[in-house]
Amino acid sequence: MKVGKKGSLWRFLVLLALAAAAAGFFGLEVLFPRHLRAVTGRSDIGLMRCTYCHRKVLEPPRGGNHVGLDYMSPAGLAVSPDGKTLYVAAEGADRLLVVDLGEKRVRSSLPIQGRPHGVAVSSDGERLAVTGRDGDRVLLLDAATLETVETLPTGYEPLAAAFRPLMARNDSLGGAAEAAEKSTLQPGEGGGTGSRQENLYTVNGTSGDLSILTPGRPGQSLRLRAGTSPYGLAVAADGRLLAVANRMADPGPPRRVPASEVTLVDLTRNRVTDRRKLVSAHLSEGIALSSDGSFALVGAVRVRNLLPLTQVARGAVMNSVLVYLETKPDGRTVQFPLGDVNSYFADPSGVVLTPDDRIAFVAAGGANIVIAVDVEALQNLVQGSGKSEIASVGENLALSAGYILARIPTGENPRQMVLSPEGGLLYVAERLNDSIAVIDVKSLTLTGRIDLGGPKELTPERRGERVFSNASVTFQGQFSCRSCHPDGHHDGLVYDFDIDGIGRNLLETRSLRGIRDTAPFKWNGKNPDLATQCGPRFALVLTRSDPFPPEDLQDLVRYIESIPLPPVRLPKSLAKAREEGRKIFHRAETKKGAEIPVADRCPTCHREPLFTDRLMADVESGAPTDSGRSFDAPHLLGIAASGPYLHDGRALSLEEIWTRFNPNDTHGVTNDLDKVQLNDLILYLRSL
Amino acid sequence: MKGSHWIDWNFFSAVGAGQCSSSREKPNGWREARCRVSAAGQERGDARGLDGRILGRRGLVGFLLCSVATVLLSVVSAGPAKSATVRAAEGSGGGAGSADPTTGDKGRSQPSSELEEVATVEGRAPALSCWKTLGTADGLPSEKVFAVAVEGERVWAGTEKGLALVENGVVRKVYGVKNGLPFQAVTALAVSPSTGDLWVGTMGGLARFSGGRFDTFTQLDSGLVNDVIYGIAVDGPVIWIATAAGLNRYDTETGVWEIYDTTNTLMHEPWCYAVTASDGRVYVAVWGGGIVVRDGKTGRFREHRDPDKELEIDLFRDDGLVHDVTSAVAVDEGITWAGTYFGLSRYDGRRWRSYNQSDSGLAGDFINYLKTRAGVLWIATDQGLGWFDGTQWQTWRKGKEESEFRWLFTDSKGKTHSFPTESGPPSNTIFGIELDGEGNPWLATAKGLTHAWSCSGNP
Repeated sequence: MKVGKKGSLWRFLVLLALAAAAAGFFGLEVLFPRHLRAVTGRSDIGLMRCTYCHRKVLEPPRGGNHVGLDYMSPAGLAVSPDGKTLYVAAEGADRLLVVDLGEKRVRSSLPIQGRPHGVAVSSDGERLAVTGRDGDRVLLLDAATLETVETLPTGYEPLAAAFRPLMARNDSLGGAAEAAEKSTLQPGEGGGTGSRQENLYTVNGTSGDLSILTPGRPGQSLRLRAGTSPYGLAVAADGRLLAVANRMADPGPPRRVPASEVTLVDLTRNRVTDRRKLVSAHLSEGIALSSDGSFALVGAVRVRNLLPLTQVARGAVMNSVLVYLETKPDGRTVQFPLGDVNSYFADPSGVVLTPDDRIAFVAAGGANIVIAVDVEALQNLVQGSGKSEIASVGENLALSAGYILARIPTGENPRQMVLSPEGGLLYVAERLNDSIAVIDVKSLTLTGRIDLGGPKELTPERRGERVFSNASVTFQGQFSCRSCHPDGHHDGLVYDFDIDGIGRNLLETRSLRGIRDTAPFKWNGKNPDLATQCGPRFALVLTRSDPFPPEDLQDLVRYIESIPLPPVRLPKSLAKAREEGRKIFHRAETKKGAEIPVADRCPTCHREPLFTDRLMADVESGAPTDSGRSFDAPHLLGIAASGPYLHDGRALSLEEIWTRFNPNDTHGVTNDLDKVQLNDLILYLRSL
Repeated sequence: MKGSHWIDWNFFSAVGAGQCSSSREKPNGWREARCRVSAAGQERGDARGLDGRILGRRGLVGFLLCSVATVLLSVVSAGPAKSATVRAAEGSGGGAGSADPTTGDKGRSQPSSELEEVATVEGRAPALSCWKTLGTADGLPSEKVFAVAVEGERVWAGTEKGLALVENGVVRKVYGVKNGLPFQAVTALAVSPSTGDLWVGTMGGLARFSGGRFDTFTQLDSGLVNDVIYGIAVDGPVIWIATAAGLNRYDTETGVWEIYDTTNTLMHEPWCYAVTASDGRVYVAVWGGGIVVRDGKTGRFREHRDPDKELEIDLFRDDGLVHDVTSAVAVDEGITWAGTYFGLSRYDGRRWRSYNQSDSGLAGDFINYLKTRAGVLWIATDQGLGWFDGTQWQTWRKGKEESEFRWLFTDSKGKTHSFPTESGPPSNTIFGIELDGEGNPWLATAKGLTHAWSCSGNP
């Protein structure tokens, strides 16, 4: 067979292409301008490896535990009324543990799917309630046999649970509570016992509400709007008042001082009666009510996100506070610092109060400390202070010496806590130690530790989670990674990061869920991998301390890569609308038939399966205070729960991305859509 | 006893006892009854005769039947053309002021005991003899009140310039845009019975008021189809919103918005003026599109239109909806009431019945709002407040003069009687009605928020 000059040329070109492709796959950057232009619709992209796009990518896992082994990771705790048994929601191992407090060992365990998080015991000790964080339900168990009595649907992501004390049944109930009370099984009915008449409450983090459930009557559940991302709850001893601690600040414009809320609910009427603002404070996880319900104590992080974070070196960018809140109408709300001038005891989590209302305990999860607080001293400060003094209490780090009774060291990451019925012993869930610390309330000392039996081997992910949750790496222990990324998600705030003056380059905290294969990182796309993102520069700009040791950094990266996506929560009845939304997302033509340029189509930048092309793009979202115009295209998986949106959090809802901030169709062609179509598109995004 | 007459044996004894004065003929040909009520007696809910004696049960019935007799006399003497008007309760004792138990404010409301009694004899019509109106002088942000909602002792008034909370007859608080309302003009209100949340429709978006906090929803930041809201219905956790561009369904538990408009329902027009939910169905008054009904089980829509399609007249009476320009809808006990700008329609699931001002006791053909409870319909029109129990009609109306009020009563025989009263609605333009626990109406009017009740009953 003869091969002419033309054939040789073709052969040369084919070989050249093969060589280039091989070079691309082996990490050398090559240039295929026509191909890049066809795929991205852009001509500004230069050299690129083939593997940048052509690689094997798995969609991140959804829900569950992904740190290698089934660690117990204890979350919610509850003690039986006789004080002999401790119930532990082992979120990491999908189990409920029953701990014999006499023998200080796990007596039995029960598999429970869906990340059990909260646990509560009825006042007679006969019933247990266990929330399934990923299953959106609460299981009602027989405490003696651990058999499931009933499964009650809740809102999205039920976290803490509580029963309404039986003594409240003697009250004169009104409204929906009365209806619910009347509808419950009476003693003797259906072999029932008194515990079945107690109402059950759960706070639901993702749907942002409080479920009021009536065991035996699942159809009579009620949901009251709480704050943003509710996490903890407490019911007053007389059963009249319920208080909810909310983790995230209420949505608002980027440059507004954040404020979260404590939600107060009148249980005699099932009505939200007050929403008390915690100005400049958020991340409340634990709450306790006094025995008479007259005041609540709430842990929170006081944050100065609008100051450049370089101020960390000056202290108190974040500091832990215990909020003293009078529950009466127009009652006072005072934030008391838990740290001192050189240490801030980051990430306050669980809060409990002794039955005599004299000592409060706050678990500082980032400092491996439980802090004991003299409540009477707090009250004296409140009573003796004027309005302006009360407002500045949160800034006065010198005050804490007057009310901190002790700081008790614990194991890794103390979170939820519970007191024995008589109040003599405090049990602390050491989440990343798979153990329960036992603290004597009288002596304020650690007296023992109960091993929950988790794996002793520490996987890199588990070690990384410890690094992630520990604030010791930050100057004066002001915050941990978790302080801005609670549970690997985000805190919903915008921060002023750089040394470029106040108010410039505000950036919203990005969720870490499912980001494993989405490099580069940061909104400006400057960090090619997580090791860079969390490495020395991180220490220079953020923690203002020594950087993570290399092995810790490696573990930290492994942990961050393991953070799963949340479950998809969308009613199946909306499948048709979702499909319409999917078509709109993938459309190539406007409603009038005009072709949409490749660069302006949704899947171009938000390419499946991760829904990001990992490139920078200018969608005209830049503000005058931003240094650059282009930003990293974020992935869209789990986007429904990661608002606010855009790089500076200016879009408070998905709708606003297109209704307010896309006037020129530069962030996808959307202005020809009618409202029905836009709703369908958003429904589709919510399903990712 | 719906629509039945209440006849008491006391009728005969009362007339015989002469506890009402005899009527006398006036120069203009009308007859005038002289039955007086003392202020003291009125405060206790007692009626007095001319001699000042407090009438007992027998006397009371005789007293009220005196009024009926007066009506009959006037019919006989003045003929049909003049029979509708009777002067009752003339003189100082006829309209003695009563104390307003809610505020202690004397003289704002005037009782009309005789009128109450006539109404009572004729049926179960309420005697709205005491009226109290709150205006800007009382703290309302505007006298133009577009919507009203009642939750126990709390009354919410949606005005042109904000939302007002009224407790114990006093304006306690006013909320405006600076407090979180999406827009100042409040056009619709609904309270969720289960959560106590107040849903607020405005000309600029929707809001949920819960525990002192407003959560706002607009067409730009949520799935709300349009910011101009005319009606809201709470159906468990689902909120239905009637807007100027279709109907919205908002599931508060899932956070999902759905839109129903001309593209996916039978709606011929997008302007939804009112919405109500009952027995698993949702009823929408579509301006120009009749009544559209969504079955909750199937998700399917059905529409009720005016069969004759005539815009000016109702060509075939009772053939269906009286007119396609619907503005209000109310459903109770299986009866659908549709208010239009050209009359009222009633539908029992099988047959339609139409009512116009010209052929019934309907207060006015231009209907703004309907409220029904326990088989009784309250009608907000541009000519006063109407009431209908299926047999009898009542109308409370303001006259041309500032202090001129009239009460019209159409008895079961179709005869209309008109009485001057000492008090009544501050304006004939009624925008909204809500009933308190006693069944007494709170009215959103063009000149304030009004509460009406029987002076002898509880306010």
